[in-house]
Amino acid sequence: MATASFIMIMPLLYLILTSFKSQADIFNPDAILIPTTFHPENYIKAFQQAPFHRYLLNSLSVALAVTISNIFLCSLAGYSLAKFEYKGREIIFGFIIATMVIPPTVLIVPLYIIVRQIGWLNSYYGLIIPFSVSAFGIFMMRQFMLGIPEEYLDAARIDGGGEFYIFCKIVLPLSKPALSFLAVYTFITNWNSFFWPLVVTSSEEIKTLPLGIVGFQTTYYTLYHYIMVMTVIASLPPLLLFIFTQKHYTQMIVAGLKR
Amino acid sequence: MFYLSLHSWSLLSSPRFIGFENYKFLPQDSVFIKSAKVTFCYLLGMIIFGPLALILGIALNQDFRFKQLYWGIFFAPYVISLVVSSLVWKLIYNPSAGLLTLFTSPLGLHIKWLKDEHYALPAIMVYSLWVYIGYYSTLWLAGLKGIPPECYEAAAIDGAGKWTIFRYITLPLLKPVTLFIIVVSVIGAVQMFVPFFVMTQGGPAGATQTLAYYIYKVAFSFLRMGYACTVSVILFVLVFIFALIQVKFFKES
Repeated sequence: MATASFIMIMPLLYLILTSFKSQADIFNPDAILIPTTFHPENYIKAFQQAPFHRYLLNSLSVALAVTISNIFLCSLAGYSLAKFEYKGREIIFGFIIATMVIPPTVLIVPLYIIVRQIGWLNSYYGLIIPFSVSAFGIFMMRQFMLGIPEEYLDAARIDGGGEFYIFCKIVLPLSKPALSFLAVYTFITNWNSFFWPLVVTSSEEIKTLPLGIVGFQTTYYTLYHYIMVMTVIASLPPLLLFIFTQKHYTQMIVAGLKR
Repeated sequence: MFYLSLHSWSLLSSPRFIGFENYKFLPQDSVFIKSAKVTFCYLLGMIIFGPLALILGIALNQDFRFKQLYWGIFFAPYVISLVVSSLVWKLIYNPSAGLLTLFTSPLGLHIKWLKDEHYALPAIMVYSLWVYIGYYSTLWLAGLKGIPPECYEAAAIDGAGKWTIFRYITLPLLKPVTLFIIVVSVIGAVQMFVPFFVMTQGGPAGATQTLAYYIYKVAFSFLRMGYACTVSVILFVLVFIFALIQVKFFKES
């Protein structure tokens, strides 16, 4: 475990160390890992290159909104697809999976046309609404909820619990590991989302973080050290979210259910 | 998408209907055939990660010192935007000043990883492994946590050994999760685009040109939207059929 972790972490260490390097050091064979001179002021300078505080705020708002929306909607949809029987259920599910297969490159153009016609270009709506539910999320919640034993649900129904009550008090707590992963996954995917914000936004006030980072690469040169700086900063919120949800990966606790 | 695949469209003018011409061209397109092969190779490489990640997931299910920390370290690569981590690894693979040379120089290995026909695709596979192993292990872990502990207790009382427990209790109970992970990893692998774009741009002589990258090239470099849609349709149909087979397979058991 220790050796494997060491190998895993090497590129990350390289990332962090490079963020402190001077420009000359990045391609210097004698300073591959450890910089010859430390430049902590890279962190301050990087922020001055573009309105990054605005980008950060935008990325945060959008990612949070999409994550919260996904958690609610995908768990509801997944629960319905997993535990209730109704006509056409399999077809709907098949259709949902089918949408996952379409290459995103091809999806962008029609999506852009639609968003433009609604008038959501260059707005938070355009950044959030198209992703407020994901086929991945629905698929995932359905699969995980299939593993919830029927007895728990039946016992609650016999005790006179309403469906929504069952959902909130039994299904959701049991799905904590799946929900945690969905939250982290959705947040990360949206936080790092590059192509869609590129297509949809045009003004500086609404741009997101990845767009800002890419700005360090021009036709003539690439400011690698600033890229590393921003990446280190950009990696913090998702990592924090991950650490926060780590403790929600709990085993199905039976005792708490037998009230 | 299906509609557009029957047209010829350069994005600059309006689409021109040409029926199934695009589809007839496919078998003659040697680049398409090669991309399909490359994609398939990449896919095979990625599928091997499934069981690897499961093993890691099981390991993470135990309790040991610093577990949270190790788990975090494995997950961290996924957190970084693909564009940036691809850039970092591009630097790492750099034959003159990259991080990898710290280890390969003493061994006398001087390979131009990303520029070598035989090593470019494996290099990207190693990168993908680095990014996704923590992600998939965590997925497996979530699935493992969904198994009620009584099952394990009952089996232990009946005197079942570790391997028996794994085979007859853990694996069957993981079926829905396994289906999900297989389908999602196949779809993900087939759509993987960023590292191919950032690190090799289709690679030395098309060695890393996957179908996803080819679609992008046809659509935005050659400006043949209609044909790009055609390739996309084929991709879509193949993966969809695969997904259906998987669902059927998991339903029977």
